[in-house]
Amino acid sequence: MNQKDKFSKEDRTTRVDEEKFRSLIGCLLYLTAIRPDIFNATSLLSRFIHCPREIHIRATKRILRFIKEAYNFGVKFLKYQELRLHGFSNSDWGRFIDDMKSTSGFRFNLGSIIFSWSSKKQDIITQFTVEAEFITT
Amino acid sequence: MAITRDVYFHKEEQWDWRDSQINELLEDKIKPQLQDESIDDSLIKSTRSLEDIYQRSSVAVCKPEDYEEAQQNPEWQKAMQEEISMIEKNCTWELVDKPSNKNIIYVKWVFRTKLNANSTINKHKVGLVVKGYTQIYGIDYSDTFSLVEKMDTSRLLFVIAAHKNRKVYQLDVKSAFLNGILQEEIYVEQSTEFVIQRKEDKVYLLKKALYGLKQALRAWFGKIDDYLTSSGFQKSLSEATLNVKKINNDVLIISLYIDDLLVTGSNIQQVGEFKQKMMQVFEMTNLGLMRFFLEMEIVQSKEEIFIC
Repeated sequence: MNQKDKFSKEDRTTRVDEEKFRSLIGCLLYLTAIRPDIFNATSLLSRFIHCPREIHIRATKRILRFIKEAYNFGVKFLKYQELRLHGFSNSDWGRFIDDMKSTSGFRFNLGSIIFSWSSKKQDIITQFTVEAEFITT
Repeated sequence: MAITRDVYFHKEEQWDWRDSQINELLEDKIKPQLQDESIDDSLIKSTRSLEDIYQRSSVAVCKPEDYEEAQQNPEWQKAMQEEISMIEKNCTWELVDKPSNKNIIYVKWVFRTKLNANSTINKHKVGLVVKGYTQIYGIDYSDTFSLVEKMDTSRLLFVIAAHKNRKVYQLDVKSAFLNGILQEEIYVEQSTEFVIQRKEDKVYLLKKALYGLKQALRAWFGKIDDYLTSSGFQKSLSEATLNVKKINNDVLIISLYIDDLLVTGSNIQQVGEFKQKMMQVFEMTNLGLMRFFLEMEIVQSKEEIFIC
């Protein structure tokens, strides 16, 4: 996904077939169970399944192209010296321009192996970046 | 110069069929066509049904729509017989007189083809399902919720297994829901294709759950959960589907995903014993090392598990 893309429900590009978009996002969401790399992009695009525009489907196709290139990627569980639990979290601030809510994400590692990940829009509007980070944690 | 469009007919003259030049022309033009037709004719040796062609091509029509269609295929027929005998063997139901004041639920056949990871046909699956939507809340069922595992938990299991250099094994319960014991009194009609003669008016009283019942999932989960607890397993506090048993210094971890069991442990012997025991209690297929779980392809090698 292009980092600079801003998606909105009221995008001016033409509307596309809702059903196809919905099933495409559904497939991608299932794929996120084993692919943390497309999680953020997919969950962002899944907010538009009721009003898909051309810009959204274009971004979705970009994900598909990425998957095609990185077809063999997956999560590998290896033996690691010490099993230590690490958690990482982050959030953007008001990236979603329709309601100015932030998106927060986290990942948990044991050693260097990722086993839990998420990316989710926060429930409330935050006024400060610090607040957004706080809600994430 | 003037051009006329008048046509003059030579009534007296005739086409000279014996003219060799014209015949040659005719032969050139018409004969090839005739030959083509004859080739076409010889090619069609016999006709085949569309279904047959579909089966030979890569786009297979994987499932029949209803009983009539399935009956024609011996594979499906065999699978249906198996399903019925499975139900009988499990003592799922009992033939009783039709009660007058009870809701009777109808049944239906469902067909599905199970595919392997490389999309070849694994097996023909047939299920006798009840039409659960005719059940009434409070009379035919009460609680319907059941627990499923979070993906995070199974991934965590992989992490630990890979770290400790253990292998994860997979067991699959055959017709899992048929094992669940029902609390409610539920009657179903006889399947129209497998009616027992001279007992047409009778209906089945269900003792165990059937697919399609609203509480089937819950009944099954209760059953397996009870069994695991009674055989000394301890449930994880935060994930009820994760069961751990400690024997001396070894641990045995069972993760339950509805009817798929993932088994791993520090002692391979114990894992084997557990699998044997489970297969005696429930009807199970031993899938060996986990390779294909929830549509994920899993590769296990030494100190390494890879999912993609």
